[in-house]
Amino acid sequence: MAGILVITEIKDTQFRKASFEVASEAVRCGKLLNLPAIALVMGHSLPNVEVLGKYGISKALLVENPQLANSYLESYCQIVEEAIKQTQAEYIFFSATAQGKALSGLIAGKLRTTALTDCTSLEVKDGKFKAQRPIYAGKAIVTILPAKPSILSLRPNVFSITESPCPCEMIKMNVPLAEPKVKIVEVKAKENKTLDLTEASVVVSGGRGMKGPEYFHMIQDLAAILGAAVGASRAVVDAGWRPHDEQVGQTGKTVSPQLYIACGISGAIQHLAGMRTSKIIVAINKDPEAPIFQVANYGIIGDALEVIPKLIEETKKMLQ
Amino acid sequence: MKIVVCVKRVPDTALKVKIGSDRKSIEKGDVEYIVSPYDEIAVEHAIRFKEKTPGTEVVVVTLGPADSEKNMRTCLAMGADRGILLQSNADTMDSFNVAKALSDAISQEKPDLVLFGIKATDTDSSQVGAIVSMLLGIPFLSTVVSFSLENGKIKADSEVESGHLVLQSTIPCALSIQKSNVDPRICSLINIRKAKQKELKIVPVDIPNDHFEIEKMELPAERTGGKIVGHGPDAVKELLRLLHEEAKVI
Ligand SMILES: Cc1cc2nc3c(=O)[nH]c(=O)nc-3n(C[C@H](O)[C@H](O)[C@H](O)COP(=O)(O)OP(=O)(O)OC[C@H]3O[C@@H](n4cnc5c(N)ncnc54)[C@H](O)[C@@H]3O)c2cc1C
Ligand SMILES: Nc1ncnc2c1ncn2[C@@H]1O[C@H](COP(=O)(O)O)[C@@H](O)[C@H]1O
Repeated sequence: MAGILVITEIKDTQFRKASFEVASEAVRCGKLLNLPAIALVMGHSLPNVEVLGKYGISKALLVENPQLANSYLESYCQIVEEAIKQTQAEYIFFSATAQGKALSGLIAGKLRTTALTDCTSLEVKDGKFKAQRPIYAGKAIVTILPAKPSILSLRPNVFSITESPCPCEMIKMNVPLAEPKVKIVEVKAKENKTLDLTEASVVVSGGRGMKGPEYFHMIQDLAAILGAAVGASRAVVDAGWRPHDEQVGQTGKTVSPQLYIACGISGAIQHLAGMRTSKIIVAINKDPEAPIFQVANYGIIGDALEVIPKLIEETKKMLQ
Repeated sequence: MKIVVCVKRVPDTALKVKIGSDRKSIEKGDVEYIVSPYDEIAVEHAIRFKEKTPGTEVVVVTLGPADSEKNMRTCLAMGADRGILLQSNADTMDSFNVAKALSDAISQEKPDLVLFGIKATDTDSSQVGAIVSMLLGIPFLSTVVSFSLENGKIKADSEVESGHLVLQSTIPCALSIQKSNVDPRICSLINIRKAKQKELKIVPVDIPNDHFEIEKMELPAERTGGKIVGHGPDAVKELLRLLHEEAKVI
């Protein structure tokens, strides 16, 4: 059957948005390569799979197994392996989430090849498939012609979701799972159910210019109004003002939202590494010389503690 | 317990990248190298584990050119017991080939735990750890922020997008370390001196051809056209108008 296999990911019994991005891109490349895009859906309880047809997925392999409720990578790896065998897929697309990156590596190990992580652009030219990915923390972009089978993961929020409806054939797959060596013994969901930084389309970040943890509620309030995720610079994470999973940058998260608002962040090279591919960057900083202004589309020079309350007030008015 | 930590030397994070004349790599002329930040944190985790668990041996392994020795000595000064330098000048981004060389060396050590950084800050791949664990046939626990030994098993806290997973694994296993509040220690002069005497085995290795072809390497497109909207709270209205009408992101 050969084709492009799309490894979807489920979160709280719903598809991740990133999975629709990967599906749309696989369908686009599939048309150019003359290959069908086939989705793999696995979980202990599956979402409405038909929705994949909306994005042009013509076939979906389904694995519903209660054991997957507390299974870790190894069980998913077994299922992906089986799906590759059955489909004879030449291209295997993941989304570059924590799970997607780890799984793509395990599958690369199995197939004795190298996967390309965090691709930001794919191209098919004269039947040749090329992928672009950032390296050196986004300071360089490399264009690669991968060997086959090609295993790739796509950076969330970069590829657009495109509708091209078609009927989606569902095929149930039964994969007996080996006794796992790793078990998930507890899931600790985020307390305030904040948005995933890497998937959010708006991110509001604060740095040392926010003056102290007691003022960070401003960042959170603005984020809440905009439906945004909260980010932070390393300086404030190291100072203990914010949890480390909010750090954006070279040794933190890489984000590519539609809108990134940097408040009291200087724009050190290591911070830029994590957010420079954002579509629109807004900087609020009292120092006109701050390097963040060199990458910002729009800047306000001023005291963040004065500007943000006004921004909250005006945004509320505007969205009403 | 025996812990192997895989560490890589990478260009300093403050590096301003210049593309080399081959247009397929960066210019390496005046690059300063450091231990990849996540790998340094992985070494720190291993040493803290050793301090709590007497009888633990920590071995650092790297694949790189001869002058990676300097970075290996840093890890030895932090408290690792000995090092293995798999020496090769192949400056490859091919994760499988790197993983294969590492796993061949690691399998001879028969470790209980193998630690990796979540990613090397040059390749940004997050691949080598997963591939090594697959080649060694041991479970892979990713994005780990803390771990401990409990009743002969490894208990690890893994950070994922939606929160944290508490994992329990049989030993041996491999962990990739994510940044948390664990910072690498500053080495004392005495320990830096002691590190010079520690065992560092140098093993030449051959790296096969890459699994892909690099067509080109470029700098990212410059961000241009930025403007200062104004000063202080008075500029907010205009900013929102621009975000709404011009940028169309709100
Ligand atoms: C190996 C390594 C890895 C690193 N990784 C990361 C990383 O992943 N992410 C990261 O962010 N950093 C990282 N850093 C740190 C980075 O170099 C900077 O130190 C850090 O980003 C600075 O944070 P900041 O901008 O919040 O603080 P500062 O540099 O102190 O800047 C504060 C800014 O706020 C402005 N300001 C002050 N008061 C106000 C006010 N009232 N209103 C408005 N503006 C104000 C100032 O003008 C200044 O520009 C790393 C460093 C190293 C060496
Ligand atoms: N050349 C190398 N030598 C030793 N360890 C490495 C090497 N390359 C990668 N690693 C390890 O694998 C991790 C992930 O690297 P990467 O897959 O390149 O992002 C690193 O953080 C290191 O722990």
